[in-house]
Amino acid sequence: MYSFKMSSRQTCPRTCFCKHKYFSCCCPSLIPSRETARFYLLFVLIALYMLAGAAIFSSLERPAELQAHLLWERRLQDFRHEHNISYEDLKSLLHHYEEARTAGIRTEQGRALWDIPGAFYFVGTVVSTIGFGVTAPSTLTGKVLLVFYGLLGCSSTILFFNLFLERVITLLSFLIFWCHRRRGGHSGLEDSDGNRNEEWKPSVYQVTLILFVAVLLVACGAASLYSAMEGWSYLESLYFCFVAFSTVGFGDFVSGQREHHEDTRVYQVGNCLLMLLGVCCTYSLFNAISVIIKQGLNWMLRTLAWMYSGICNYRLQLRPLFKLCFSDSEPPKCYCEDNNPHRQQVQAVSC
Amino acid sequence: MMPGQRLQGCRSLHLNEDNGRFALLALLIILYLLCGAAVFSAIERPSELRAHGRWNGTLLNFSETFNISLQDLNSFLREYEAAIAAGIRADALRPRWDFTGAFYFVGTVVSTIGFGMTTPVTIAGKVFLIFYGLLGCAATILFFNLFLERIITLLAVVMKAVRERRIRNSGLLPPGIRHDFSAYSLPGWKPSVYHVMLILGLSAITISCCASAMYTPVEGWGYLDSLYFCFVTFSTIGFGDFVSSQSAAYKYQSLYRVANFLFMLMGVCCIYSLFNVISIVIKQVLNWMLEKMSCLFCQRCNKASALLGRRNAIRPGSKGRQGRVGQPPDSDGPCDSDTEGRRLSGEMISMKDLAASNKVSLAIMQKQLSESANGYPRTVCGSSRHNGFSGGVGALGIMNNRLAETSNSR
Repeated sequence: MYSFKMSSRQTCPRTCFCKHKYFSCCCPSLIPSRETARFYLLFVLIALYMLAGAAIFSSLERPAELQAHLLWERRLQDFRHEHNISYEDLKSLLHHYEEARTAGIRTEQGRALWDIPGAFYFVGTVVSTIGFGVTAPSTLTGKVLLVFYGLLGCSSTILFFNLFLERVITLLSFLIFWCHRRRGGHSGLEDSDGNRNEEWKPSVYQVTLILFVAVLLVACGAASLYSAMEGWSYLESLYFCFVAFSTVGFGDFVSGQREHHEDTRVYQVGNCLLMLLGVCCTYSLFNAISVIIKQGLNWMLRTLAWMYSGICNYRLQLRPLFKLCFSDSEPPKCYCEDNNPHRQQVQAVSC
Repeated sequence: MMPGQRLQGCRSLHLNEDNGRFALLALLIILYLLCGAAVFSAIERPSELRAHGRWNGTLLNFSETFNISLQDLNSFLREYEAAIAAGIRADALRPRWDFTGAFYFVGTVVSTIGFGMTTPVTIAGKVFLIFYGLLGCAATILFFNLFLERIITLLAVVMKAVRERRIRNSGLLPPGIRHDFSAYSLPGWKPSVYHVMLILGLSAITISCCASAMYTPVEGWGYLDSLYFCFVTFSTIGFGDFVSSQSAAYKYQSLYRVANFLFMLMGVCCIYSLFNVISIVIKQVLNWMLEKMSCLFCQRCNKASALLGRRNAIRPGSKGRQGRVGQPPDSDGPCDSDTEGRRLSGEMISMKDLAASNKVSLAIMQKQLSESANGYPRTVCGSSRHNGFSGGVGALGIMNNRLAETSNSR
């Protein structure tokens, strides 16, 4: 039985390796580091989630699609016969209309797309990566400019959202701590001066809950505004709010495209501010949820490792001659080389 | 959680540095948007007016040729618009909501690209989308952030190996020593953010060019249009004016669809990482601007503080800041050698870090402390860990150590 030297880097070319009693049996070099395993596990889970979602959406929407196809075919035939137009001529008209649509033309007379307010709305959808698509550059110069403009703009806006996230977490930390104090909890959250103990941090579950409530409030408020001004139903407005705030931005519903004749400026400014607030809060909410998902992944990895070690134990009992490097006497060590400057620090952390 | 530092010498302004940076960035982005709006408007407005003119002409022409009133034509086209919303086009397209089409749709939702070529029309679909998207987008954001961390780690390892090999080959060190104590191989060396940005930029360009080379013959777009589509998709903007894999049939259809998916996945990951790395650079620029502004507006800025760096913990009697040695992870500053005497602001060498890393001798520690006190940034500049990656990168880095669950376990 050979002893496995974890400290020599030649035998373990990975960037991070854990020596733990669960991992150090069987073939250690085949077991990825914890971070890499988590990454692959998340990829697999998202793929499964997408497959499940595809199946569900397909069953929900396919009948409506087939119905729409049938109705349209019938309408097309009726129109052709009514006005005695050949199929090709009608098809060419529809092609022209599709081309016109990419230039932003619709049957309803909408506002101008590329005047200054319209262009401002456009660059807003670009840098926030919402990208409705109602306005999109059609000239070559515009497309080339968009690539360079978007590179810098999207980076700045991602920084803005990250700074907002940081500010929100700071603010929520203060609020939650202040609430604790108000409730009279001198339970070790403070030191003797009544200042906050530096070790205390809010729980991600509290932060997620508060952010969720905030997003809900903004979405409901915005939805009532949109349903009043845009003529959508309340549910459609909520759907639009979600699609816009998550920066998915389909473009099937877009606010501020009608020609309003009253309070246009005020509405447009309110529209922009609401979207900004909504996107920031939703971005923070997504990131808070992602911390929870990460916790879930860690738990899953631990469970998988525990199951794997159970299997290893079983095999060890069955085949004593099998060369395993199973060392239970040493404490678990994590030897991780990543952003953490404690590269060579040995932490007694369970992997 | 660290309270934000006050801008040195600006006590009268009561401006927290973090809030100041946030406000400055908001202002700059608004200016950027206004300039962009003006430029895009100038470029695209003539084209829009021409398109309107063309369309009106076509409509009139058709109406006269076939003797249909404009109202009838417009009502017909309105019905066509509803059909377009359901995914119908003049040419036969692939089904929208069969399994592969729905998978494509779900992909555009969780990655937040959101082309819009397929959208749910039923109420049940819309409601389900909201709940589905909530979890899916959060998971995918986590995926991108983990990818970002993984790629930075990988690049750090590769660049460090290259550097160590170069040092060893240049004969500075005896070949037997693995962990030497020179400044270039300090434990915790991190790559410069500019190198990482360059590498990520080159990868992004490579992926885009390869993907465009695939889209151009298969979809029939021009090469520049394909590049434009690649950028719009990989940055998750997703206008929907160009969408790949929409025709009813392709040659080698399955292979093309798989390649489409893989290219989009790699492209989005790469560009997302590139955006985050560029945002680090922008943050450093913001910090620099804040310092310049606080120098300008608050006359208490003295040369000594500029030389020694504002957040120098070693300087005795420095007010307005905590006397702590460990710094918040996000106060990092630019690291360019031509700022005379400027200490790398932000991350001081943490005593804890140095003591914990048991390979570094006491002599080295004392040397670096004295360097920081006297403002000798040049030799340490390019090789120290204070390069913007110290606090972790991206949103996960921001939340690191700020929440109870992100403090110990990572």
